[in-house]
Parts: sequence; C-alpha cells; structure tokens
Amino acid sequence: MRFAAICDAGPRETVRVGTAWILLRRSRCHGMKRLRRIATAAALLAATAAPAGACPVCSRPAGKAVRAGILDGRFAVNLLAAALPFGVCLGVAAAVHFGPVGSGKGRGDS
Amino acid sequence: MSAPGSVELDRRPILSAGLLLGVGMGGFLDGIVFHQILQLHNMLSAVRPPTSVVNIEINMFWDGLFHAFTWATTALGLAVLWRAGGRADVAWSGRTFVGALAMGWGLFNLVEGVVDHHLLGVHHVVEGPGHLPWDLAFLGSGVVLLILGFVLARSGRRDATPRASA
Repeated sequence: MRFAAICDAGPRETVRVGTAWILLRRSRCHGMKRLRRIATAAALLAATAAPAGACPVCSRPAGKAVRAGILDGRFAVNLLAAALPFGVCLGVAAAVHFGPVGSGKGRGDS
Repeated sequence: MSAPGSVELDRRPILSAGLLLGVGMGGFLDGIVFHQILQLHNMLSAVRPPTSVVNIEINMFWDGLFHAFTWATTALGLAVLWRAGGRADVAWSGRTFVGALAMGWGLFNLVEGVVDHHLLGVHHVVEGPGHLPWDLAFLGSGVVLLILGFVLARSGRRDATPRASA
C-alpha cells in the first residue's frame, strides 16, 4: 500500500534529516490516514445516500411525489413562466434580424 | 442609393446576435447567482417554497428547464453571430455588439420581471413580505441596461468595418 509505505518511511528517515523534517513527515503520515478515513466515509455516505431517490425519474415514494408535483394542475402555467420570457425576447431578436433594412444599415467603403 | 465605391453594411445580424447572447447572459446570471449561489429564489419559490426535499426537487426541475431555455437562446445567438462573421456586408462593430448585449440583458430582466414576478407571480427576486422593492429594482436594472445598450449601439451605427477586413 502506498499510504502505508509513506507512513512507515517517515520515522526511519527522520533521524538523519532533523527535527523540522520529523514533524513534517509525521504530519503527512497522519494526514494520509485521515484522508483515507474521510474517503472511506464519503464513499459509504454516497452509497447509502443514493437510494434516497427523490429525483423526478426515481421510482421511490419521494421521486413519485416530485413527479406528481411537476405534472400537477399548474404545469401549463409553470411551463409558461419558464418559457415565455425567452419567447418574447426571441420575438424581439427576430424582429430586429428580419426587420426593415434601413434602420440597421451603415455605410462603408468597399 | 449607394455612392459609387461604397457598400451598404447591415447591422441587423450583429444586433440580433448581441440581443440573443445578452438574453442568455442575463438568464445565466439570474440562474447561477440568484437561484444557486445566493439562493434568493427558485423558479416556483413563491408557489412551492423550498422547505421540503420534494419542493426543492420540484424547484430544481423548473430551474433546470429555465437553464435549458437560457442555453438554447445562447446557442442560437452564437449561431447568428457565426453566420454574421461569414458575411462581408455586416458591419463588425464592437460598440454595436456590446450595446446589443446590454440591451439583451436589460430586455431579459424587464420581460422576465414582468412575466414571472408580477403577472404570474411564480417567484420574486427576494422571497418574503418585502419583495416588491427588490422586484422593482430588478425591473429598473432592465430599463437602465436597455438605455445604456441603446446609447452604445447607436454610437456604433457609423462603424463601417466589414468582418472580412476586421
């Protein structure tokens, strides 16, 4: 194991280099152990948290509730709220793009 | 009629591309800063307060749809700008483009504010009993951006460098 090798190598080499190096080496050793524990805990947490299943396509009760909340009686209004501002802005941009040429022209030398 | 030796340059593609990209930039700023970083509101936070996991997930869905529309608008703006870049009769003006960007952002704030905050009432800039001043400030920022953008774009109306020689 790489972690074990780093931790084992620390104390043997500290005598030759000095006190400051000893402290650094020990700190790194403890840091690696702590990092490994955190990584293990994070992996366990991720593995156990995933089945919470509140996503819109999840089949668990929370997921079904989310799906029902999205596809409720207000769906059309909510879709309008999300889409209408962009529709209006698109209409304005289209009016500028395809509108009268005169207002949008400059003149330059060829 | 054009004078001999001159060519009519079209500003419309730069204006429309800038407008669309400005709408996209405004939409992304709203979604990223207000919805996600500061979490002042979500798409439906006035009708479905994000106080439970289910409501948070529902708001997340509608926030995602909002971002999808924003992305599509930005992509369309890029396409229009790309096509404009390939035309020799388009005035390649930085002032016109940046002005149009500001106008697009202002237009988005104005339209989104009127539709979502005031007409449909699905959310407010800052949720709570004192939301009106924030909503009005949002509309005000739209008007200011529109005016600044218009002035800047207008100042570039005599810019006459075609893309081919820019």
